[in-house]
Amino acid sequence: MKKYFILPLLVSALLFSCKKDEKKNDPAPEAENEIITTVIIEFKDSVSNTSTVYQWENLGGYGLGSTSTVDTIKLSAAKTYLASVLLLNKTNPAAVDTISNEVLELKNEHQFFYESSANLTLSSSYLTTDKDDNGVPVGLFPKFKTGISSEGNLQVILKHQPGVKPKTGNGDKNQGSADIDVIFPVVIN
Amino acid sequence: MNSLVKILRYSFLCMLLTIGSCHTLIAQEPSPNCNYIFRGKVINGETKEPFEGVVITIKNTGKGNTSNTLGNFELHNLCHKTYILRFSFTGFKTLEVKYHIHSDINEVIQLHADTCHLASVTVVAKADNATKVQSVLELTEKELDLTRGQSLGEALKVLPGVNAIQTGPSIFKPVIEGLYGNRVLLMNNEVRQEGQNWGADHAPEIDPFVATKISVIKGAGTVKYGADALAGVILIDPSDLRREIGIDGQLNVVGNSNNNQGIVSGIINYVPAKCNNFSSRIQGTIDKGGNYKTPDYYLKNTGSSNYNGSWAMNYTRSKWGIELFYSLFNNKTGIFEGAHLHTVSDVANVIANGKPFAISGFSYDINKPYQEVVHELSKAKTYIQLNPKWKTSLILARQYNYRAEYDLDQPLRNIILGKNVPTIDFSLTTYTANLELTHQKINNLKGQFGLVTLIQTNNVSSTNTRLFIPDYTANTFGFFAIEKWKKQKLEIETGFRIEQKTYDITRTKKPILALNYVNFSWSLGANYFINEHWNTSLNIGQARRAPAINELFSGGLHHGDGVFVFGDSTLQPESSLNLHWVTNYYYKNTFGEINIYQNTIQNFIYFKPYGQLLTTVRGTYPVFNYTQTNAVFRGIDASFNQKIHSHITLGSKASFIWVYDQLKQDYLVFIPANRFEVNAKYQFKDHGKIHEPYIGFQYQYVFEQTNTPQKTVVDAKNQGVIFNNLANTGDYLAPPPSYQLLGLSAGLIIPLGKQQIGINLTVTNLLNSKYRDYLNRFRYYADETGRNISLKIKYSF
Repeated sequence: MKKYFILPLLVSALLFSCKKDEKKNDPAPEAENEIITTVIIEFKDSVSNTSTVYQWENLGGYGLGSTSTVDTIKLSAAKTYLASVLLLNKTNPAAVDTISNEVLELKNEHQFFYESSANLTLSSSYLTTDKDDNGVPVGLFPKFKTGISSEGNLQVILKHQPGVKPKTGNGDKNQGSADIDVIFPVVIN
Repeated sequence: MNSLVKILRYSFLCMLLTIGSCHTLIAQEPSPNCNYIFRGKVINGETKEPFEGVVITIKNTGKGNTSNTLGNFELHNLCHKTYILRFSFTGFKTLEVKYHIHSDINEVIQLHADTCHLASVTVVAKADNATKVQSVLELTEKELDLTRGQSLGEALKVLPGVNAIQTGPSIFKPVIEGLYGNRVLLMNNEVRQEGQNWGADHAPEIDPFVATKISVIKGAGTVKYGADALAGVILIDPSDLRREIGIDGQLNVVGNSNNNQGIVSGIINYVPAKCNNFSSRIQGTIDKGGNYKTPDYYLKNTGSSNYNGSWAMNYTRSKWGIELFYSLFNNKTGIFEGAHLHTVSDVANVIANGKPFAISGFSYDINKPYQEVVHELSKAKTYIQLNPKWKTSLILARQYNYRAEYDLDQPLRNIILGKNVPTIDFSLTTYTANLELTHQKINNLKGQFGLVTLIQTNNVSSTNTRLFIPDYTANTFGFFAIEKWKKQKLEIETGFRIEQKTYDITRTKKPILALNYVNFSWSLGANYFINEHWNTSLNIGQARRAPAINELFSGGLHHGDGVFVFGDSTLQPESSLNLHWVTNYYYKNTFGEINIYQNTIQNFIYFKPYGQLLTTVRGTYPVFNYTQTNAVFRGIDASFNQKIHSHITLGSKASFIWVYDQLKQDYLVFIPANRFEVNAKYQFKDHGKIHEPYIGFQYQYVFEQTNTPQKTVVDAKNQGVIFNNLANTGDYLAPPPSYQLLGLSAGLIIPLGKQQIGINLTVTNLLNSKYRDYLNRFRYYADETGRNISLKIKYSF
């Protein structure tokens, strides 16, 4: 009869081995997780080809008391600008990482949205060249048009929409979660 | 049947009975009513002392009772027929006696030690757990059967005065007398549960099917378990291993309609041959559930799956014994996706919308965000009976807890490379060693002493951006002593514990540091038995709790809650002074208990919304932080049951609590709302093969929490509805209105020879009411779950 006592031991061996399997699934330690510390947006005057760079930055990442710095975007009235967005991770100053390249690589699940506050005379549109494989805009290279002199805010949102980014049309701002959600003050003269 | 049984046979009854009851016996005509009462007294066959805690069951009915401190018990509503009563207690020979009932009966029963398992040892352990100078609340196997299919935290809500703080529909943490988290200790099979209990979204990592008894203790008995048990200790105990030769077991099958959840859980107990001193058990549970549903919509990504297993083995000799236990808990829980949109404007939008934006149908799929938890417990207990009065035991245990949280937002590089890497993961390993010395009654004194050690290390393996909890090593060394003096109707119990706790923070974004706390706690209580049915007790105690690691060092986005949480490494230990007055009455058809308490806590550490925002590249987030104040908790928990008719029992329970911040002269945030419940149960007559059919009805009323902070300071630049709410109620959303819930339950037992099938059907939120609960961390985003019909089938063999 004593042989039956092997049963719990076998079960325990089984359970221990289950746990070992669990450990194999443990992901290898990652050297560096990714964070976007810096959002740079370059505005190029479509006529004069002169360009100016504006930056939003928070090197402290997600720490309490970390502060963000932001430039005021200064544009001229009644003009068209071709812009481009650059996303950087400067957590390690010795190896700055360009996150916008990864966004481009995963363009079928990303889209930028540009929202002007009510009184700001700034409108944005997507270029036909700035689209994903399905023909839906990505928004790394937006076009802006200014109206009369005004002041307000430009909100730059990057939505990550794996599996839910529309396959047709101009995109859906309400899907997915924000990788970026930053506000630039804007002055148009 | 042995000779003892023969002696106790009915034919000898009259000789043993008092003349008075013999007289009754003769005088009373046999009646078709089922109103006979069996009054018994169980005594220890060796010492002739009253025997407390003996389980008396009426065979093939599932009915029964337990003997009280004086060894007395009563069985009511017996019919004019023959019953087999079974008397059992670990380490003693189970006794089965046949009684032919045709009148009320008074009887003395002797239990004798089992020669195979002479376990006066176990008796001592049991007697300590059942110590009465403290308040003990208990969920027995029968009550637990009705909660099968719920998580442990949810099941505990059945107890008066126990609540739950909730994160979404499936994660519950127990709240006792308004306190939760690190102040409620969980003892899982005599081992202090050391999971990652920081944050409200970390439910206890315990398979509820392992437990056949859950009790909550307060007062002197708690010093045995920790100096930090400010609120109380929850003991989760499996049933004793089988003592007789043979095999028995149980199969539980549960289905829940709300989330299409199916659970299968089985237990097998086995003793191979007479007196070879081995007993063993294996147990396992598989559980899969999908999205929960509120009355109007599904909660996207709220599925969960569990697979758990355990085994136990005892080797018992007359003077010593060894117990081994191993359990593995595996859980994967989806985090409600509608709570993921959590920037300040998102929170405001969802609140304004009144329902979540993330919509879905039913699905079993668990997508990101989700969490995976593994908890492993290995335990070895040895005990030695030094002499008839003294016993020593050593419990060694190792717990390994692994937790991984997968956020919706993944580093893009990992997506490109197709890697699935948790956003946060922790491995927590805890070793505990408890050496205890227990003595039986010496000059009316019974007591216990112990040395306690705990060594814990936490490793964060893959996180860098979010070192939410740092790597650390924590050591605890402690000593405790409890003594109980009992003479006639008075019991006095006192205990103290001294404990040193150190933290060595080995990897953190903040400077590396070491912290050292010395905690002293004590308790003194008196219990007076006014008569056999009525006792009252008064208890006073102090407890001191060192800040927990999360309270000191949390730092970052807490994905289960959707907020940024920050700790404070300068927090001071909490110290509480608590007073309890408990009285309970149990006689015939009436049961009542009242617990009135006051707990004054200096440096009370709590978690609250901070009137500030944190601007990150992903938007602006609400911030919660740990802070401390002086608080006073006052409350009353009461329950009352009355059998008003041979078939009808009415019950009620109520919990009222009032908590005040003495420094700010304001109320405190996240305190459970007052509530009461009434229930009624109709017990039908047995009908052929159908035993104990019943139908029950529950009504619960939960008040609106109106005692909320009025004086929260909000930064003037933060405007909008949610900050107005914060200024007025201390939270981003004002407490939800009162709600009422109806529930139904019905059940029956079908005996099949030695086997038995028990069927219970419960319906919660019968009217599919829409409501939100103040203590649910996801109440900003979604309603509570709607109607759930749960069918529980238990097959015992």
